[in-house]
Amino acid sequence: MAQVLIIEDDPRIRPLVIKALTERGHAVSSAATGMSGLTAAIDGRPDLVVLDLGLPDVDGTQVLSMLRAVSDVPVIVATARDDDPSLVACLDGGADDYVVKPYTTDQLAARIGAVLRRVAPGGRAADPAISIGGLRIDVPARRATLDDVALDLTPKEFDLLRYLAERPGEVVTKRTLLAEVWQQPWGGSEKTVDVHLSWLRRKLGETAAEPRFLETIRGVGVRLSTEGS
Amino acid sequence: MRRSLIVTVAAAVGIVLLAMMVPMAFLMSDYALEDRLTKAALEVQATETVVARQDAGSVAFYLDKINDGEDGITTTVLYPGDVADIGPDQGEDDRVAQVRSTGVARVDDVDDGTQLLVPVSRGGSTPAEESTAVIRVVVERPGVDSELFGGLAVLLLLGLALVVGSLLVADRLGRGFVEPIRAVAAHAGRLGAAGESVTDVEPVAVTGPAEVRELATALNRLVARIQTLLAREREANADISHRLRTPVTALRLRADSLADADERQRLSADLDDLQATIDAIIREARRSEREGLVASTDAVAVVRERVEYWRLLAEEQERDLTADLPPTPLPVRASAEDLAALVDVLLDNVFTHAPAPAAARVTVTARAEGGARIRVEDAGPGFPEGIGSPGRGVSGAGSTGLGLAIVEQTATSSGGGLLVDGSPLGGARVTVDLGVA
Repeated sequence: MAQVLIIEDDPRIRPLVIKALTERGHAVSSAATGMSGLTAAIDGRPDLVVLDLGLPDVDGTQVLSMLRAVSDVPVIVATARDDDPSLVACLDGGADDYVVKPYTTDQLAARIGAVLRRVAPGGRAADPAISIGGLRIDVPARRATLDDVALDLTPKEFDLLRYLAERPGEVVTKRTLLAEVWQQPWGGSEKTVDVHLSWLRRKLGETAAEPRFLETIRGVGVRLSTEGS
Repeated sequence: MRRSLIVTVAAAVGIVLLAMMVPMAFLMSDYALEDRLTKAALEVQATETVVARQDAGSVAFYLDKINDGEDGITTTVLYPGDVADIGPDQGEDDRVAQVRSTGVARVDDVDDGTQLLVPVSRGGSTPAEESTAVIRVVVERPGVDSELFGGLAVLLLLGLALVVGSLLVADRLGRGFVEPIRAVAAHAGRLGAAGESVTDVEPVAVTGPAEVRELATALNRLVARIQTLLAREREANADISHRLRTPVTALRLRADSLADADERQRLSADLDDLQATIDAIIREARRSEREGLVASTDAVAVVRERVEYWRLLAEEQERDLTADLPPTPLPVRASAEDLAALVDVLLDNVFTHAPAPAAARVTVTARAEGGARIRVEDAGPGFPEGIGSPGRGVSGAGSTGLGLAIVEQTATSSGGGLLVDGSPLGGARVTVDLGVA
């Protein structure tokens, strides 16, 4: 169980998120404005903050900057903007992850779980990177290496690898990848996932026939194998 | 402009110099001739005295002396009867005979000069033809080997110096005009340069002539206005995204909390449709943000890059993917992001609807009216019956069918269009026309 602070001004969303996360075993508190959320984040020492960027009193990015000045608490940004520059700006601004509106309960819960797995109790992880065998993914720096050699990945390839690496051994469907990585739970084409997986395989030095990390489960999805090491 | 200014100044100065120097050269020539004639008249008077009073030997000595110089004047004394003439132009002609008989001097224009014939009576106070000598003085018209040449040469040098000086001044003035204009033009060019955001552009320096300063000021004002409008649009788009997506988030969370699985699924499906529509609206609203001040992208480069990206999947599927691209760039009116998305949608459709190993071909050609035509076709089963409206899209396995609507929006925004038909390869063919940037 984790203590989660929701900073969200919309009175329709806030109670629904509180209810959904409480049902998943988290202790949830909330704030409706940026300044009250900042106070709650400093005083309440939550394990994680879900921060909406569209707040009435202070812009969410400014709240994030102020929070980062005084606290290492992991922050997931909830934003209505889904363009890459905006999302990268959020991560550069100190966010640990983001979720694009409209998100589902499952998506938010999965992001919270993934971020909490990366951090040590009570603060940010000493090493925020994910390591699987020779594969190392530095999430905040958005850099990946294989056997200490930097991988030249596009933003989407990095997000795809990171998503799979956060769930090692777990089979993820292409539809889920479209929803989580492409932020298109309602659209997109699985062939888009296929072509990105093909490039990821090439850059990881493997093929679909002879996989090392990326293992395709025909008719189901793909998983990042922990046996790649 | 600098070159035009120099050519204009050179032409103007050349015409003025020509108009002044040609009459001046003639004038100088006339002055020189007149000077010689005056000198010749004096020589005639002196020679007249010598011929009237001296013997032939003294006359010959005197003539040798005055004909010795290179002043273009030659004096000859033509004696009557058997007495030998003295001087370089000996020999009688009708004019000499007339002067001798009438005792009246005459002046005639002869080849390259003027001839003076003056009678001198050697028979005392009674003039008689048989005792009258004639002094012939030939004055040559000043030629290029005379002092006139020096004067003309000085005049020509002065003219050339004037031309060169004028050109230098014109070049300096031209530079003063051209450099500020070039700076303004380069600034305007940078505004439309791909990849440079108009919001980051610094104002151009306001220098040069008054007109150029006015132009630079107007351009800076225009850019500042565009920056303000773009910033407002960005804020408005963020606000639209927030306003539209926040209530849908509430609906999604509420749908997730429904206990009835069937009801939850039905509501989620409706929300999927609503969200797809909202995404399309927001994407279209952000088009100008993506395009910047001037939307211009090399269609050939983008298509090449995207085809290479999809080629890997084609190789894994043992699918023949060919690209027929022109060697030269074809700028089109669209952002690189929108164009890449367009090509991705078309190739995605091929990979989704044409089962491997059906071949696919991408062709880019230049349009006669400018811009580019992108054609993506395959050897798959083709479009299902009734597909003709891209607005409805092509829906099928693994796709929501919104792709072609996005393609059509990008094509029409650039001044082009979209055509869906059958391919000679046997499958579907999508032709996208894009307007010139």
